[in-house]
This record gives sequence, C-alpha cells and structure tokens, in this order.
Amino acid sequence: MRRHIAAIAAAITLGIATTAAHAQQPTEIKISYQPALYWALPFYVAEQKGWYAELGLKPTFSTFPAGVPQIAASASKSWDVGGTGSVPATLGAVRYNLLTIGITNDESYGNALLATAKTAEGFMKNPASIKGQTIVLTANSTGDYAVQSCLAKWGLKKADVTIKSMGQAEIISAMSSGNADLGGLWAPNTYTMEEKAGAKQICSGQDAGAAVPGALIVRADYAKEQPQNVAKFLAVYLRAWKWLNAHQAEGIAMMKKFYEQGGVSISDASLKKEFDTRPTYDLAGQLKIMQRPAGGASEVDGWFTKIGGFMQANGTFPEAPTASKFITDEYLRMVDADPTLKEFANRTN
Amino acid sequence: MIVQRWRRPAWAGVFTFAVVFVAWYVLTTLTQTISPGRFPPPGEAWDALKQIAVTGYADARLSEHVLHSVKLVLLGFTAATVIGVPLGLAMGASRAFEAFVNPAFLLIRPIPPLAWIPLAIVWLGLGDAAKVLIIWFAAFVPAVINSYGGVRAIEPHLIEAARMLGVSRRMAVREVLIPGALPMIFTGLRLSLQACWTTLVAGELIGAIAGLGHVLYQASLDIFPAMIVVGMAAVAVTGALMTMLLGWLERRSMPWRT
Repeated sequence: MRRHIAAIAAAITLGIATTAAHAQQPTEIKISYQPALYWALPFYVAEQKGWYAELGLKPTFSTFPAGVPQIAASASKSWDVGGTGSVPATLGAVRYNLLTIGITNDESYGNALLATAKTAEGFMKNPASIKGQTIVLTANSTGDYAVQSCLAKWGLKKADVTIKSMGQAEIISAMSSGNADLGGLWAPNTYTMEEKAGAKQICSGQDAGAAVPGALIVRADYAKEQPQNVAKFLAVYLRAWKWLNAHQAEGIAMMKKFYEQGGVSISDASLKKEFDTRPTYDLAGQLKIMQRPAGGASEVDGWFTKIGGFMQANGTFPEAPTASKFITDEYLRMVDADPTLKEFANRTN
Repeated sequence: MIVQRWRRPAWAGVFTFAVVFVAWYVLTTLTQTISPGRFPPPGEAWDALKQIAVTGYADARLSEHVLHSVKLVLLGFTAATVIGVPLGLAMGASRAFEAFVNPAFLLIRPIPPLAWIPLAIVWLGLGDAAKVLIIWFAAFVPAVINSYGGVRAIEPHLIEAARMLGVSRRMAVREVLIPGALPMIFTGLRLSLQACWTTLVAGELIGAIAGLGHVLYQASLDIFPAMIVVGMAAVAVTGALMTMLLGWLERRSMPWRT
C-alpha cells in the first residue's frame, strides 16, 4: 500500500514539474513583415533586445517583398501576425478575413509622387502640366493611393495621365534610366531616388490630405484561438517604438543595419528624416485613434473607409469593406487592461 | 452509330468541357471541397467576366485588352516570321551561309526571351516596342529552326532532279525549297505563335496599360482568383482562335496535303 502511495505521489510530483516546465516554454508566433521599411524596424529591435522572450513568445519571422504576396501567404497560415500597408491590409480583410489591430505609423509623407531632376521644377510650378504624362507606380498600393490623391488635389483625374504599373525596383530603374519622369514611390525608395538620381518629391499623401497609415494585422482564426499572444505581440511592438523614440541615435544605428540587411543603403540624414516625418503611436495614442464614439466611426475607420473607396474605384472589389468589420481595438484594450502588459508596452528602456 | 457520333472530335471536345465544368461546379459550389479563396466557383468567374466585359477592369474592357494583346502578338509573330523563315531557309540551303550565321544563332538560342526584358526596356522604353521585341525573340527561334530543318528534310533527289532539269535558282527556291519545307515551316510557326502568347503575358507584366497579361498582373495584385481565371481563359481562347486561323492558312497554303 505504502509503495502504491509513494508511486502516486511521485507521479503527481513529476506531472507538476513537467507542467511547470511546459508553462515556461516560449510560445511560437509567426510574424510577417517587409524588409527595410520603417514600420518593420520595431520587429528587428524587439528581437535584438530579447523582448519577445520576456513575454514568453518565440517569434519566427517571414519577410515578403510587398504586401500582396504577404497577404496571399496568410491563406496557407504561413504567418499569424504582422505589419503591412493599409491597402494590402484592406485587401486582406476582404479576401482572407484579416483583422487590423493597430497602426504601425502614419506614412502619409513617406508615400509620394517624385519627378526626375530635370522635370521636377516644371511640374511643381505648373501641376496641370502633368496632364498627359506617364506615371510609373505600383498599382493598388499605398503609393498608388498617394499619387491619385495628389492628382485629385491638382484637379486631375486618373484618366488624364497614363499609369504604368510596376514594382518599386523597376520604378527606380525606369526613372534612373530616363524612361519615366514621374513615379509613385514609398520610403525609403523615395530617399534612394532623391540621393542616387537627384529626383524630387513633388507631392506626398500628406500634401494631398490623404492619411496613409500602416497596419498591424492578424489572421482572424489565430486571434480567436490565441488572443493573449496577439496582445503580447502588440505590447512588444509598442515597447519597441517607445524605446526607439526615446533612444533615437541608437535607433538610427540599428535602422541603418536593418535597412542594409534589406539591401537599402541611404544617408544618415534620410534615416533621421524617417523618424521626423512618420509619426508613431504609443498605447494611449493607438487607443485614441481607434476609439469609436457611440454608434460612430473612429479616426482609423475614416482613413480605411477612404482607402476602401479608392480600391473599389480601381475595380479591386465591387463594394468597399466596412471598416468597423475588420478593424478592432480589442487586443489593444487587452494590453491596456493587463497591468503587466500595459507597463511593458510603455517602457522606454 | 451513336458510338461513331461520339467519336467525332467536336462532340468529344464538348463532352470534355461539360465534364470539367460539372466537376468545377461540384467541387467549388455544391460540396465546397475547394474553398473560393483557392479557386473561384463558376458564379464568381461569371461575375468577374461581366465586370471586365461591361464596366472594365485594369483600365479597359475585355475587348480592348484582347485587341491590344492580339496586336502585340501579331506584330511580334509577323516580325519573327518575316525574318526567321527566310533566315532558316537560307541556312538550310547554303552551307556557307549556315557556317556564317549559325554560331551567333547558337549563342542567342538558349537565352530565355524573358531575360531580354531589362535590355528591351533600356533600348526601347516602357512602350509596346519593348514588348514586341521580347515576343519577337520568343517566336524567332522556332521559326528559324523549323525552316532550316524543313529545307534539310527535303529529299536530295528532288533537288538533284531540279538541277538536272536546269531549273533556275530562283525557281528552285519557289518550286522545290519552299513547298518542300512548308510543312515544317508551319510546325515552326505554330510553335512560334504559342511562344508569342507565353511571352506576351510575361512581357505585359511590366509597364503595360492594357492587354491580357496586364489583366493577369492586376488581378494577381488584387488577389482576385476569379479575374485570374477569366484572364487565363481569355488567353486560352484567343490563342486557340489564332492557332485555328494559322491552321486554316496552312491548309490553304498546302492544298496538296488535304
């Protein structure tokens, strides 16, 4: 009998020990982003600093050259959470039920229409002269949205110009080789064009009054299964921005390394310009812009509603999605409601 | 009798299409074994077809996209035929000419047509000329090889007979060389036409403002599987119609074979 009791006690002790050990095992989370972009920097910083591990997360990163393949990869559950542009985020909401759970940054200034050195001044003096010109841009991107907002600001329609769609690298080649005078680009490609080919930014989304946010996204099924992990992911991301904004010099050094890993080499002045022109949001800021007044729409809802309208006009889908159906502050509120996560997200060290 | 009727190619073709359509409907709509995110059901493809045909997609209607693509294919194909066939015939007819041209041709031949895209853009810009050049490269190689092979396949006694009868060089080319090589020339042209369509879609991926390749590119950016299916079907149907036209031309050119 005694032997039986001892065996049961040993089994229970072993079970408790195994469970405890299992509880300390970090949880895997698959994070997706696009390399060498400002809003992706927090992923790199947090990984370097070991902040994911502090919250028991073990990240696996997958990178994509653009938003569309990133969104398409969500169908095969290649990633759980990530960051992307607002246009792909909207596309992902319609096609694969992706949720937007936060804003990476305001990139309204970083998405712009650039002109070659020899033509920029003329276009800036007389924007109407853009009529009949060819603009090379990446169709259905935040860059496209910014360019079309600029055209609208000058009283021009899409039909007034010839739009040729191509990737960002091809746009840089086309403009550098003199095959195109006007191009829609986003940072840091804008800086590359300015520094290496003398191009000039003649209008940005910000100039045209178009809010171009970046989005933090999650697969809806993952969010339902692992809401706590989603909240932790947000807390880590927010802490990284807090730290970057508080330690800008060190942040720029890390940014330089991060961009170079992605094949982008720009001057320190341009790296600093990223910080100066692209506002980010801390926890309180995120909650504020995502707050929906009773029965109303949040500021973020308004931004994405306009983006949905732009995509509908492009023929991407017959009806623009309702922003409130795919944008949620639920996980930000989870961070806010958890004292440990809230404190973590607001740390500057 | 019924069995004989079903053996007719047209009926067999219709039957195949019917089976494919029913399988498509059952798998994507009735049982939903394949989710719409992976492959669109017929209803979605029909809606996409209506959208592009009536209101337009990727900045033009379907008819405009088809016409633009057909124009590019015809330009590239014609240029390849006009240059490639005589070159192949000359290489086949003259050992000296072959020795002169073949080394350069052997070097150009293995280069994939798509590898010319960056250079074509640098040389000719982002317009249609660059796309025609890429299509020309794709169509040129089969046109040359098959014309050359056609001449080499002519039975030597025919050429000897023409020589013995004192036929002039020009007449020998017109009456012996070209008719003798024609079956293989047309085989080459069919391959060239196929290569034109394959390359056109890739060529229109960069900087196009209309065309079926542009539709496919835009639909991939929009993650719009139904429109991708419509674009692919349009390429298939247009390509098949042009091949049928070439087949008709082939029969007209070689009445002795029918």
